This record gives sequence, C-alpha cells and structure tokens, in this order.
Amino acid sequence: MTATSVERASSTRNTVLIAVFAALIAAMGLIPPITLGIIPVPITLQTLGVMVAGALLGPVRGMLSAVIVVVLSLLGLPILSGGRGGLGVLVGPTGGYLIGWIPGALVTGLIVKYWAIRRSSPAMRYVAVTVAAIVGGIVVIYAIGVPWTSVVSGLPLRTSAIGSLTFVPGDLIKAVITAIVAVTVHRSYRGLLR
Amino acid sequence: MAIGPVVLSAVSVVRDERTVLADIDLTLDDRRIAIIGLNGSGKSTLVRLLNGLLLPTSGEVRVGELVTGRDDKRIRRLVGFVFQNPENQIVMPIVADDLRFGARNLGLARAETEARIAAVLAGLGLGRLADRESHSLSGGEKQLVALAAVLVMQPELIIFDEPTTMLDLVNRRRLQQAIDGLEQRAVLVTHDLELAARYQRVIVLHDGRVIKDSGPDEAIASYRDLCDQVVRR
Amino acid sequence: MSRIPAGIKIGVLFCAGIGLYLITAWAVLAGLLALAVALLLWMREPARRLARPVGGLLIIITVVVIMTGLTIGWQPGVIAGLRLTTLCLLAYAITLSTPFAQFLELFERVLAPTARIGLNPARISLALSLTVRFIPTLRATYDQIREAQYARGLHRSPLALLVPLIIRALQSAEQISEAIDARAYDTTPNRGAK
Repeated sequence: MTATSVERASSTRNTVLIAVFAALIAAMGLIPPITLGIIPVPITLQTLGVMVAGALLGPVRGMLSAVIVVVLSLLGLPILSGGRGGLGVLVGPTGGYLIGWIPGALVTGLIVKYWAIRRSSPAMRYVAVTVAAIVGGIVVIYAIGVPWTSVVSGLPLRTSAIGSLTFVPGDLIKAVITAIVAVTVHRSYRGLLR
Repeated sequence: MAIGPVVLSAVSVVRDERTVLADIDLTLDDRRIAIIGLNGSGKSTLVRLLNGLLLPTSGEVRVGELVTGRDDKRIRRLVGFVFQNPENQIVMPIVADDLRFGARNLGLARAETEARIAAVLAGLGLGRLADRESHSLSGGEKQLVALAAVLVMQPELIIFDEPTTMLDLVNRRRLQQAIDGLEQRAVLVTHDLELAARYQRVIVLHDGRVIKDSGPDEAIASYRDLCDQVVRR
Repeated sequence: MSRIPAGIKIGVLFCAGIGLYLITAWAVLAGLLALAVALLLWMREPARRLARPVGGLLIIITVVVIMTGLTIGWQPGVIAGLRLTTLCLLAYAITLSTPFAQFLELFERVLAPTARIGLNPARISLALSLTVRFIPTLRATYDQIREAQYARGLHRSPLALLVPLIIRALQSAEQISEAIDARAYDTTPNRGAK
C-alpha cells in the first residue's frame, strides 16, 4: 500500500459539504439585503452563495446545496433574504429566480470544474471563473426568473426582462467576487472539486 | 462483552510526505489513559486510529479481535469519541434528536432509545436540555451533550480528544467529573497536566514517537523536561 | 387546520394555483381573496409572525400591479394582483399551520421510492437536518469574522469576510463528518485515498 494520506468515507464528507454550503447560502440571506430599483427582487448575498457553492463544490454537490435551500425555504423556514420563506415565495412573482438557483449552481459548477479552473495562467483562471458565474449565476437564473415573473403576474416578457436588467450590475459584481473567492479557496483546498 | 486491549503494531502515518506517527507499538488496556504532548506531536492522529477514523499508512490497529479498516462498523459501536470542538459534533437541530441519531445508527428500538436517552440525560444532570435547540446551548453544555450522545450508544471505550480545551474552568470541572464517573474505559488527549496527573497511565508523544509511557508523576516530569529543552533551544 | 395532513394541504394549494388562473372575473377573484384573508385571520396567528412575510409580499405585488397597469392596462393588473395575493396568502396559511417536522416527514415519505433509483432518503434527511443545525452557527461565525475584520479596518472588503467564512465552513465540514462517522453512521473509509 503506497498510501500517503488517509481519508474518511467520502460519502459522509460529501453529504456534510452539501449541507454546510446550503447553510452558508441560507446564512447569507440573514445578512440584511439591499433593495434597489423598481423590480420586485431584492439584491441579496444569497445568489453570491449559490455561485460560490457551484464554483467550489462543483456541479452535483453545488446543485444539491441549492436544492436544499430551495426545499427548506419552501417548507417554511424563513431563510430567504428578508426573512421570507414558505410556499408563498414559489407561487409569487419571484419564484422563478429561486428555482433558477438549482440549474444556476449546476451550470456554474460544470463550467468551473471542466473548464475554468483548468486554465493555466492565474489571470485567465479569474476571468474564466467569472464567466462561469455569469453564465450559471446570471444567464441561467434570469432565463427562468424572467419568464416566471411574466407568467405569474401577466407582465409582458419584454417588460419583465427590461426590469430585471436593474439587477445585472449587482450580479456582475457578485460574479467577480465569486471568482476571487473560488480561485483563492481552491488554491488551499486542492481536492475540493474531485 | 469486553473488547480487550487496543493494540497498535508497528503503526506509521505519513501525510503529505510528512511522518506524523513513526513506528508506534502500544497496548492500551488500562482503565484510564492520558496522552500528552506538544501541538503537532501526533496526539490527535494517534487517537483517530483507535476507532478507524484514520487508517495507518503501515502497521495495524486492533480493537480486541477487530481490525480497523475492516471491522469499522463494529468498532464504532464499541469505541466512542468526544472531540475538541463542542460546536461541530452535535449534528441535529434539537438536542434529543441528536441523541437519537447515534441510537438510530445502532438500529435500536424506539422504546430502548428513549429509555437510554432519559437515563443518560438524567445521569449527567441535563434533563432540562432535551428539547432545546442545539445552537442555543453554551459551550460547556454542548460538550456535555456530545458526551451524552456517545453514552447513549453504550460504548466500552471512550476517546476524548482535548475535550476541555475550549471550555471555561467551571465547565472543565464539570466535564472532568462526568469523565471520572464513567464506568467505561477512557483514553484522554489533554494539555491539562492537572487532569493528566490523576490518570493511572500517561503516554508522552513527541514528533510522532512515544517518548514516555509510565505512571503520571514520571511521565509529567519528562514532559516538563521536554518543554524546557524546546523553549531553551 | 393544523390537523389536516400536510400532503392534502399542498395538494389543495396546487389545485388552487391552477384554478385561480382559470378564473378571469375580478369579482370572483376578490371574493376568493376575502376567503383567504378570512382563513388567515381565523388561524389567529400572532400579527408579528405575519407582518414581515406578508408586508414584503404586498410590496412586491403592488409593484407588479403598477407595472402591469402602466404597460398593458389596469384591469389585467388588478386581476393579477388579486390572484397573486390570494395564492400567496393561502400558501402562508398552509406554511404557518404545518410544523416543520411534519413537512420533513412528508418529504421523507415522498422521497422513499427514490431509494430504488439509487438515492438515499436517510442521507437526504441528514443533509436537511445538518443544514438547519448549522445555519445559526455560520451566521455566528460571520458575525465573529466581521468584528475581527472591523477591528483591523477591513470591514469594507467583502473578500476579507467571505474567504475566512468559507475556510471556516470547510474546516467545520471536516470536523462534522468525523463526528458523524465516529457515531457509527458510515463505515467505509477509503484506504489511501488522496
């Protein structure tokens, strides 16, 4: 046996990592949100948590963290920003953005794991992870959130889309933060994505 | 069922190309054993070998007839573990549910589980905590709950890895009392020499090797010598 | 109402969700809204518990009504507002009348068949419990780090908060999975895994 290190059962560790990142996303919702613009979606750190979960844990575990937060909030835990939670969120106009977290974390994780983190130059790695967070954390989430708002509220798709643009600057900043955090943490925890 | 001695034979642990434990041979069969040593001497690694949380790079760890890595399922029913950080070992949101967690892993019947929980909580004077939310407990209460969660599983040997480090003096005493009152065998890693002095056998680790294995007075004296040397160097 | 099984309540909500979109007469919708309000009042929930979620909801819905009114007309706006409010209040009534443990039980029952396709319901329920357990812990960790960074004059930098928070979360995850394994949860460590 040429073992150089010994490690615990990976299944328990995976379960715990998924749960801890779900708790992290939820805890970020308890940090007071900033509300700006006219569209009914408050800016929160939670989507940052979703992007970070995907970028750090990879597609499957990152997505499962998002699933847990969505499930717990729908079950009534007041863990969404502003103390919201319960089935009312899902049937409300912002429900799509919440559901979008699940594929959002998945896509962010896929791009980071199989492309972004493998860039050889450090500068490229930051850019690539930012791109991953933009595609997963903005494009995918909005692709579900925007039509959802218009279906639920009867707003024309265009209005709903134009309105959501208010949040793009904030979300772009979150994508950049995600990249810096993810590249920094991956440097000290190399085995995380495996 | 008595599990018999825990025996480490020619055990080495190498991690990231650093030797954490080098060629350890030990037979642990005393009722109370303390393990002392400087930070990084390998104490935590050593005790994690005893219930298969870590497996040796080479050598073998036997718990009675059982071998870690092969019989971990049975070993963990016999060997309980209380960790240093009170926060990160209570895994359920409500105290009573946390105690049920271990019982469920053993496959205990509901009635048996509830009876054990009531008895253990009463024994440690924690009855009033049963329905509390885990995160709302104080550090000392958390550590006692962690011990309770282990006791519900009725192990024969309990390992304590610096259980008092993060506690204040009062809670330190409370936990000590609780440990003193245990019927089970105990192996305790500690920096608290006052506590170690009360144990019948004290093992001193340094740089991954056993440098002393004796009664408390002799072992603690050699540990103090070691500290003097290190500081002077 | 709390005596009705959670599964039936969710079924009712689901049907109401579809039914409300089939109704276009605003008078009927207004009547249904009155019923939903009556239901909430009848439950005698303390006003404090309702104020935050319902208040937030009303702001969001008001914005939707105004935007719909300005873009496609006031009648569709009012109808959308009535529908959304009714549905959300109904959802809150269900959430408030169902203890979290009951939802969790329902959830485990619904998931039980997934064991056949390789998922592990016990593991999923452990992950949900762990998340609930560690949300307050991570929130407390965040406050500690913020105080420490504030003392060092770093409170304006989100990275100085996030990186330590995530590192602490990862360390916790290691300790938690050790504690879980030590209590005989999982017993298949990998020898020599890197």
